Amino acid sequence: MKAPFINHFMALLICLISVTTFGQAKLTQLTLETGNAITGLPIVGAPQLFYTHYHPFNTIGASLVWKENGKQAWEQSFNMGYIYHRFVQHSILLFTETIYRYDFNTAFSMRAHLGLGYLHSIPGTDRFELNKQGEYEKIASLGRAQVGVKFSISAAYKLSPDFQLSINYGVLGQLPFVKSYVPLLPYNAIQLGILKNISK
Amino acid sequence: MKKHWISLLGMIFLVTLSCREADIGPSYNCTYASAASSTLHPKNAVFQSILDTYVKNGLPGISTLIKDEDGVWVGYAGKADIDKNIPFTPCHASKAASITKFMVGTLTFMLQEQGLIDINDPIAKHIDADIISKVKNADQVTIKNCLQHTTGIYDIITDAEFYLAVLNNPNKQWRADELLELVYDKDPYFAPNEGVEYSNTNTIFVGMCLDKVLGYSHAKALREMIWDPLAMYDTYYQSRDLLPSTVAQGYYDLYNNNTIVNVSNLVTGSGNGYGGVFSTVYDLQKFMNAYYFDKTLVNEESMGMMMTFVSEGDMNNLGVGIMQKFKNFSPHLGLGHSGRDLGYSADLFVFPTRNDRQMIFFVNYGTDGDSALREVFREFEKTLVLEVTE
Repeated sequence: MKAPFINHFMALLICLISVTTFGQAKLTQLTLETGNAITGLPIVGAPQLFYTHYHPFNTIGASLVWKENGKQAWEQSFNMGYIYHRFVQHSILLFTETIYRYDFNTAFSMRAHLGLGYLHSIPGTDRFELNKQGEYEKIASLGRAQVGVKFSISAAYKLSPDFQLSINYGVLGQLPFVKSYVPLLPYNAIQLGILKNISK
Repeated sequence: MKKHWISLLGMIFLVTLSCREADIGPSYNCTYASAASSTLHPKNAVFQSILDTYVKNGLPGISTLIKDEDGVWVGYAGKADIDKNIPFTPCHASKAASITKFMVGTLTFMLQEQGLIDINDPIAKHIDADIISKVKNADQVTIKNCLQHTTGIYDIITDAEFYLAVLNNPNKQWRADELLELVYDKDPYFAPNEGVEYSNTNTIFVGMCLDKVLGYSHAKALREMIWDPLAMYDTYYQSRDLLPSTVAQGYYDLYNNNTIVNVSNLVTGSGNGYGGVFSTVYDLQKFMNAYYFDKTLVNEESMGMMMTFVSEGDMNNLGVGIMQKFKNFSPHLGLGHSGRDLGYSADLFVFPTRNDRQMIFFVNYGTDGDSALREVFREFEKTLVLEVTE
């Protein structure tokens, strides 16, 4: 992964957030989601997702509505996430999603999310580097810049005028991961969330 | 509304706590009776220099035992635990990886000599039909095919889903049937007996056959029939035995950026016939002595069957549970087995055409993946083989 690519991507992401936040559209919703992220090719079954192993996956985010037409809407979200994967890595995600929403009625809606972002991976175990004397030294794990891609679908149910309960299932890809073994690391993720309206 | 937020925080807390203990904790120092002959060995400086050189070039730790006409030489270099600054001494158990297959092969022939199993049995005789039906070629192969890798059955270790499963649950203790699910319906390399391709899946099947005829785990049989009688008290089977604090950490350049990470707790299906034995150079020598020199494990007839070789490419000849190696660079083939796993490597060989000299080593670096240190390891192995067989 070339650093300039990451820099350009981050600049683009910041611009996008700035334009949308300070331009015409306003952030309308805050989200807090938590759940499990399982490494595996899509689509893993419910046993794995729910109880065979846990890698906590938590995200907070804010979203805005680009366009709304009757029951349909296009939204954009800006999110920060964290996955803890024991013996493997800590993953910090900054990503944006373009979202298509369909309201079935006043209480229930579904969304399809397509996301892209920056993923910072910090090894979950000790890391060492050979020094000039031919001895390994433990090094601070500043981590690696990675790309994260995400596709998910979610359903939300209105609990009150201000709050919705959501469930989100999707696939998150991290790349490049491990040459030879796993060049692209796919996570299957399921999260429960709370959505709070912040403007009406 | 407050209840919803409390529930969410509770869920975060619960999922964070749900983890199994690490298989391998920090390594500690251990004590051993040093081979007095090592410092007197005429090649002491040469052998030690090789170890020191390749540790300086990046192999984390090495322990080595060499036996030739001048006696036994034991040496070591580097660290068993870099973080704790623990030297890798010959009493530190390290992963023997596929040398497990040599032991499982030997056990199979021991049981054959007792009349419990026949290596020409189809594996389908001992394994459930619903498993056999889901692994291509499994309905047509024998235990001998499995031990000699002439089944064509897909190798689990080459499978991306396998690595994802290991990553997902790094220190899981896998059952054989769970591992086999990862190779269900995968295309074979060739029809049975029509080729040679090393496949770890083969010895999963052998382990299952042994479990069936024994009525208990082959892990118990390895201990009761081989390790305990040979006083191999520093030998363990990962996922079946509790590993002691004298086990070396295993390292690998996982992210291909010339740094190494501790991968000790990424357990690649250990304890199912194809890998998982942890041992020391002393214990592996006891095994080789009993097998090859004293012939107390299997009889001459069994050894003859095990040493029926087929060629696998330019590097190896595969016997039945045993291998010949180094044919790409040495006229003196090593007889025994090598072992390669994610964070560990090992060799256990005798050189029959070079006065039965022996070379045993452990390196706590995984060398089969594509990393810069793979070539360093290969150069180390070649240098040592050439020096031992000089």
